[in-house]
Amino acid sequence: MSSTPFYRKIAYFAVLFLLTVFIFFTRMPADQIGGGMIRSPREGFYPPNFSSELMAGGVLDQTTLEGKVIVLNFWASWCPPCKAEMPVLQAASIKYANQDVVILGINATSQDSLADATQFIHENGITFPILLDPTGQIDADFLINSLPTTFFIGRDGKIKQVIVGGPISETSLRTQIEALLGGY
Amino acid sequence: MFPVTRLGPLSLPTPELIVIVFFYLGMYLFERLQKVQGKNPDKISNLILVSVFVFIILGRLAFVLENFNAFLSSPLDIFSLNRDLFDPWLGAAGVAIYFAMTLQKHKLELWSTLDSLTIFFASLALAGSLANIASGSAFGMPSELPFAIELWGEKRVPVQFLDAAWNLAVFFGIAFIAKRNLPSGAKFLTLVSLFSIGQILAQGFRAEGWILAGGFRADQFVFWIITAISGWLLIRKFERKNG
Repeated sequence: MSSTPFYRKIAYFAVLFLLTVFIFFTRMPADQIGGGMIRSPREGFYPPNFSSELMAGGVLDQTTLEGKVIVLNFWASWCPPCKAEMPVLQAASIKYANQDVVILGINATSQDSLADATQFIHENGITFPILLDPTGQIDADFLINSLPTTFFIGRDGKIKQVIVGGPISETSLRTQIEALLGGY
Repeated sequence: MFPVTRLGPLSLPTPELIVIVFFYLGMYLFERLQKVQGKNPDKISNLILVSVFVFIILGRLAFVLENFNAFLSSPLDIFSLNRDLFDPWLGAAGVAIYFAMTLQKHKLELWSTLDSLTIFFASLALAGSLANIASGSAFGMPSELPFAIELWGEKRVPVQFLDAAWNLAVFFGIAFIAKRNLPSGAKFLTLVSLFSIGQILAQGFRAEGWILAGGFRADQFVFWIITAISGWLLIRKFERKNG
């Protein structure tokens, strides 16, 4: 112990003291905790607005989504993994129909053919709501740079998980939804 | 910021690609250093490669057991390529147990083994920072600083870049001392201390993380304790060497 140069221990305690002071002065301001009220397309934030016209006609009433678990899936008809995961999403929309879970598709209409997208939905018996994004504004707001991309939104309205790429497996989708519902 | 790399028809996750590239860079540097020092790197190289498999298999197995009901109706999803069907903590615990068993089996000394792997760990630390830049994770708080970056809808402290710069400096520092004759364990403890200090500094500007009462950041406390322990062990190592 006595052979350790004194300055080495002084430096050690000085560094710890400075780090302690740093920790004290860099506490998280209360208004920043959990991302605040900022809307941004990532975990911990409220999602950007995605109100738009529905493929089936009419406009989505976002007030019907309050307090529900939302699965928001961005897709296009030319995207093979998007099409591959559609049956899994359809099955989940039926399974969780009575459990405050809403599955929503957002078709990247600005880079897709509406006719092809509509045909795919009809041919595959997809019944959950599909939103259209003809201007690409929703895509841009959600910073989508790969399809498919799936957002899981909790009952508090904040994004809990983002999965980029696909196809998402049935089990993966189910574990995410059940976690948000408080199951498993 | 650029989470996906497009290579022709393929969309590859950039953060994972960065980790894989730096994993091999770290392995290459480790083996080169061992050979320069006249040591055979094979046993430790195998230890690392098998650890990766242990991590992947145990991580998936743990997730399956934790969510057993979810897999009952589609058991083949056990082999799904989805990365989110994974428990990294239990995977890491499995690696720690395997690491300890292998050290005992091959009679490898813990501190000298960790010392020889320090450059590999430094490479992984740097990969983690760069992966955060790619994914946009571990982002900074909103800021009006002139060097703030636009991210997730606001101008923010470029904390991922600061963290990467710190870990790059640590990487070169570790490379600088790699061939030096230091007390056993000193190189590894130096890396742990510097990495932890970097994390305390970076966490101070991050917008996310586990927040305790009073706005204190839990990660900073964890890394403060790691810094305190590793720093003290480092002092003791030099103390013993000096007699």
